[in-house]
Amino acid sequence: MRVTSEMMISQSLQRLSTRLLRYERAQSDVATGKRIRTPSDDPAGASRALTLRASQRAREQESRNADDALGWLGISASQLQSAVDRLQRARDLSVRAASTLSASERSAIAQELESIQTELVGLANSSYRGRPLFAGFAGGPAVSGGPGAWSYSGDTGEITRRVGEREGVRINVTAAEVFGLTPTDGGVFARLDEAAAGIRAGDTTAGTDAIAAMDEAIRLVSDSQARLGANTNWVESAQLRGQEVLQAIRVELSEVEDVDLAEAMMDLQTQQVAYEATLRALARALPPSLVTFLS
Amino acid sequence: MASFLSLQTALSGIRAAQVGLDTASHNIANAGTVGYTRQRVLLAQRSPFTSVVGQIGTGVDVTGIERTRDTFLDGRARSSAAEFGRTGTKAELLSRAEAILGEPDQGLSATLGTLWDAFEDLALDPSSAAGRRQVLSALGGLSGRARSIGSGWASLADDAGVDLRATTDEVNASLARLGELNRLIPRAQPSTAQSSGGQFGGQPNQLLDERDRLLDELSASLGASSRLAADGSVTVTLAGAPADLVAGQTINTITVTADHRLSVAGQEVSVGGRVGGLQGFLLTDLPAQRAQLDAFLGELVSTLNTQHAAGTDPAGAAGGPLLAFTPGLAITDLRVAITDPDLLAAGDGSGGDHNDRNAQALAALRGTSPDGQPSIGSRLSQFVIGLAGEVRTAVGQADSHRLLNVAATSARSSAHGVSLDEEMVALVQWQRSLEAAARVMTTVDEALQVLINRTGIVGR
Repeated sequence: MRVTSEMMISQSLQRLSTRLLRYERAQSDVATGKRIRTPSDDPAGASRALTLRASQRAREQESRNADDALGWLGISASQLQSAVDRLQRARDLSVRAASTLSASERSAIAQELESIQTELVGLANSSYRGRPLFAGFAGGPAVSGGPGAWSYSGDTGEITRRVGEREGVRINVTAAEVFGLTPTDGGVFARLDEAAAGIRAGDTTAGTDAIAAMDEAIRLVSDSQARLGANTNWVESAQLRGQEVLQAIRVELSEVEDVDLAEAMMDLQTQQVAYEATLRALARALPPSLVTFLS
Repeated sequence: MASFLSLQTALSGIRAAQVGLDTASHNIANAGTVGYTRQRVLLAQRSPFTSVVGQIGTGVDVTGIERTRDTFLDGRARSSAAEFGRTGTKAELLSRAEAILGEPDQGLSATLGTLWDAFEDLALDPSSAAGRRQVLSALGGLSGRARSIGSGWASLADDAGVDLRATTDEVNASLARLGELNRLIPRAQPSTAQSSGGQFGGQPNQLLDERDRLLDELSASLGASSRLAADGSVTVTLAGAPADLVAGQTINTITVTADHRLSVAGQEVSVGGRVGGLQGFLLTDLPAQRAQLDAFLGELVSTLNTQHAAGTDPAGAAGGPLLAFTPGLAITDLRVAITDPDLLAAGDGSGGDHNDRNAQALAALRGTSPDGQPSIGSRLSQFVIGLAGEVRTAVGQADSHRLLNVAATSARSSAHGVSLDEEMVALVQWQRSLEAAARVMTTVDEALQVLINRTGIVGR
């Protein structure tokens, strides 16, 4: 084959630019740490990467949702614990009221029962980050009215948090559920009204009636507490699972998208050597021609 | 006669050597000229002088200076250039279209992810003004991203259109010049020149090189094929065209319509080469991608708007459209239709200031689709990966055609190009031959001197 200068130069340049392109590629692999910079670098890998990224975002959001849910559940549980404590105190007072007492003692007990009632109304209407805890979706207080006319003014909205791909956990209980309020019955608040009024009036059965009513109220609140506790466990385990999944996604995403640094460094080294060798070969091959040796 | 014959013979040698030196230096001077073909001196023996002892050679004649051109290699190089022109252009434009998408970091998929997160955050606290604003700004980000892809693709199409026009103009200029060359070359060709009684001109090598270079350009930019006639004129044809582009001095130029269609002599044609690549991108590849993206955005908008309409805003009114676009123009016209954050329908109509059911339902579109189709995210990634696959195929094709073109071009330049070593050898050879011929002259001269000055002195 005849080798001409034009051919030699153009082919050398061609090889040099191919080498330089690979060298540049190896260099940016190391610099960016990414194997896939545009989807066409590896369509199959990019497809997995896009799915994994979407999945990663969703899991991260679920983790934030779970944090929010745990906040709600924690506050609600501690409010309910206070309610149980108050109701326990009311039961103790009722036990005392069941024995024979003087009018002033009965009046003191009735007064304390009324202040417990006020405290329970406060608990029922408590809010978390500006939002009533026990009123469902409603924005106003959960319990309203007054002696003899207690009513639930929230709604039945179930607040849920998505803590897994298709897992919605209910995080709220309503005051109606906790305190036994129905449209026709004032629940624990009405019982406390009746107990305070009966004890003050010296009604002999008022004390024993109140004991039964308080037992029932404590049972109702404990039910709600148990449900919140179970849901807290659910959210916690979902969050734990989510974090494991997130970790697995990160590992897989890195496998798909990231370059193996050791390999990339080796490749860069190889490409650098190859590029230098091509330059050297070019430097040796191009200048000499017969001209140099004819004198 | 006999004693002077050698002088004439030596003179012919000197002349031939001079032409040889001239040609070698011309070759060296043009070693880097694009489209230059190495020239070679053609020599032939002069007709001999018949003497009684036999035929005596009378020297050498320069019969011509010809180009070392191989039309078969030309054909191969041109067809590979046409293929590389088409596939290379397509690959380059598709890669740019893909880069405009900005996936995976800056693309629609990222803005879509932000939107889902905003919906979920709204569900956490549906009455918060910040959460509502976040949704609006995520919607703005999504529509802005879509519009910037639309305008990026539009300006890419503009660039390709300008390129198409400019290349076609160049092609037309080349066609006109070829028509001119078809007039000049046959007149200068020795065969036709002699038969028509013209003066001896020799091969018009420079014109022939120009003709071949123009034909190279035409195949690379148009995929046109050519046929050479014996008189050196060329006919340029385009497959499917109603008339030859160049036949003799008749030219049929290529016209480009505003919608990037090409026609020759009033009839639409399809072309290859660079123009074919540009046209294919403008008429097929880009519109197909646009249509897919438009369809995706249309589905996205209707899914979001339908779900939003199912909910109610804090005032109890059903949700209006979130995003809007002029039908068929989603990619350039997508905009946020909701401006007041209080009109976001986070609730489901069952009441409550903090009702978050519809925000939850909107957020759930992240992973599911109400109509049982693949989710919005996976439809988007299908589109992205579809384009990526096309880019990859196009780049692979362009690479393989580039290699073929490089091989064909070097095979050709191996035959046509100037080798400096070879020319140096030729220089030395012609130099020696000139020196030797000159020596022959002095030898004959000396012999004659002896004859003239030393002989016949006896009678003086």
